Amino acid sequence: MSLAATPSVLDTLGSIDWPEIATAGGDTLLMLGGSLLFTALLGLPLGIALYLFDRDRLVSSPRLYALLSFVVNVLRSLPFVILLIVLIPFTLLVTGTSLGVAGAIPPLVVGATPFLARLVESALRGVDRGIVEAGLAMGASTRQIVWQGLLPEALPGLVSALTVTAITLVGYTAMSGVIGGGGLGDLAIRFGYQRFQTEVMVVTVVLLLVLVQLLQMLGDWLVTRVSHR
Amino acid sequence: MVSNTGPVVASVLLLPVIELQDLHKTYAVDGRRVPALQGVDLKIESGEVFGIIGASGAGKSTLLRVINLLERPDSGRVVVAGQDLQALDAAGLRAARQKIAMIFQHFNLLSSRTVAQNVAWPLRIAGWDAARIAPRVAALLARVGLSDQADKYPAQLSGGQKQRVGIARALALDPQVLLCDEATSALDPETTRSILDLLAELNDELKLSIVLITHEMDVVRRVCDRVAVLEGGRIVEQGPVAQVFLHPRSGTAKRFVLAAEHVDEGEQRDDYAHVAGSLWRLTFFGERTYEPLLGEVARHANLDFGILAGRIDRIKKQPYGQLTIAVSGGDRGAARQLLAERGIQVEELRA
Repeated sequence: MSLAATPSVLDTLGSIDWPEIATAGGDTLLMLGGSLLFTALLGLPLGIALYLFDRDRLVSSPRLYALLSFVVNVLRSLPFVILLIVLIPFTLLVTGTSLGVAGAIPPLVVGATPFLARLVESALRGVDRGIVEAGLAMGASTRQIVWQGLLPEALPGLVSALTVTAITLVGYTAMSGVIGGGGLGDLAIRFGYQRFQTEVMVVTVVLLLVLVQLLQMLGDWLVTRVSHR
Repeated sequence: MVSNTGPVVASVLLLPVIELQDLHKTYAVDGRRVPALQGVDLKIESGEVFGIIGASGAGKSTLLRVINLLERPDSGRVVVAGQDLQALDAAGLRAARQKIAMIFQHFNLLSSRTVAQNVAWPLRIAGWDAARIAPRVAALLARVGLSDQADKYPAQLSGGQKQRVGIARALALDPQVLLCDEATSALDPETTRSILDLLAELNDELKLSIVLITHEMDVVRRVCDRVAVLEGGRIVEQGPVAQVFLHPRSGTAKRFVLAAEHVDEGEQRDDYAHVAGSLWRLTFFGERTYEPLLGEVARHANLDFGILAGRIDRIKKQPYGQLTIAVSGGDRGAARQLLAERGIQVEELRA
């Protein structure tokens, strides 16, 4: 029986449209890279702002904190699938298309930025208050304390935050198939689920798993590199 | 300002480097108002080591942090090196703080930065360029004896070494004042001694004014010139360390002195209850400490004495001795007079 099974697996693998999978894999990586870049560019400052505006922190502005916190909570409470659809007009405005990689990136960024911001806020809160106190006592400005004290001290936490965000974004990219975003997740749904091509489903899931695993390993390795505790 | 002539500098040195006037500060904790400072006045002279001792919650941490305005008082004035700190704008305050250094109980070093980078931090804040920073950091690390640890991270150092990094960092910008926040409380006794010795040397070499807060009288005894005793946000006693240490007046000061000598007051009273005769406490100070006066006085006044308790030690560099003796027979009046003539203070604990 095993003799017969072996060519059948090869046949199955041979029947898969590999160029299609390669394109989808490339799209996933593009969506991930593009959205992670913009998420970091927006999420880091937002997280820093949340930290600074919190009561008894460096800038301490409870009103601003409440406002930012509310916006973040609203965006985080929307299921990503809903966000994808609600944001279509916004996406059109920004990229000119709501389809493909370019169409997927704006909702991915809007979905992941509040998530990353909370993780950044939490990483900064993990830094000993004594660091801020030492900086203030030396006559440092808020900007100097953030850049030269808080961010270097929080770096391992920030790298972890970016890792978790990247992996969350991999999951989100799979959903962006709903608005025609493309990528591996989209492929898994269209071929594996809707056309009953289980082998395509299996291959894409394995590829996504490998991607997540690689991201986590890279993140963990970076954390040990930047950690000196 | 920098190019002051000699006589002007001399007159500046006579002024207090820190002057605190009628400071009040109240915290709101869970809706309750908790007073931390209730009318503190303090003058700290340039070049002295000033100790502030108090139990936890006495307000000493708040008082220390008012000096560089990490805590803003509700009312009162804070003048450091002739500058009214509360009148300064944000940039002015930052500049003033660069001359008021601080070290901390838990060191507050950047764990992500090497020893050298930690010491360089205040220099970067002050806008020094890299070419000037490197030699300055090397000199500072040499001064605190850590030249060979420059590239290590704080986690690789012992507690005493971490505090030395803290001190090197504090000295980076040639401060006029060094604030020490329980700087030795996290250290073992031997390391505490070496850190206190270093502080005393720096005070001597650099004429650096040092303010330290502590809950240990022993720390005060080793390095301070003057001490203030804080209780409930008020200064209940202050003066030269020898005076406060050897003749404490306030209950708080007495408790700290007894704690430093590991004496239990109640036990001591019970022990002395069955001792016959008068109880005297004799205080020797300076070179008198080592002179054989007791026997001489006993012979002259023809009295007997027994030693109940005693301690010979140093206050900063001055030797002192304090003996509790039971005296019986002879001419006690003559003995007291003789002791007084020899510069020994006599307190009668029991007639």
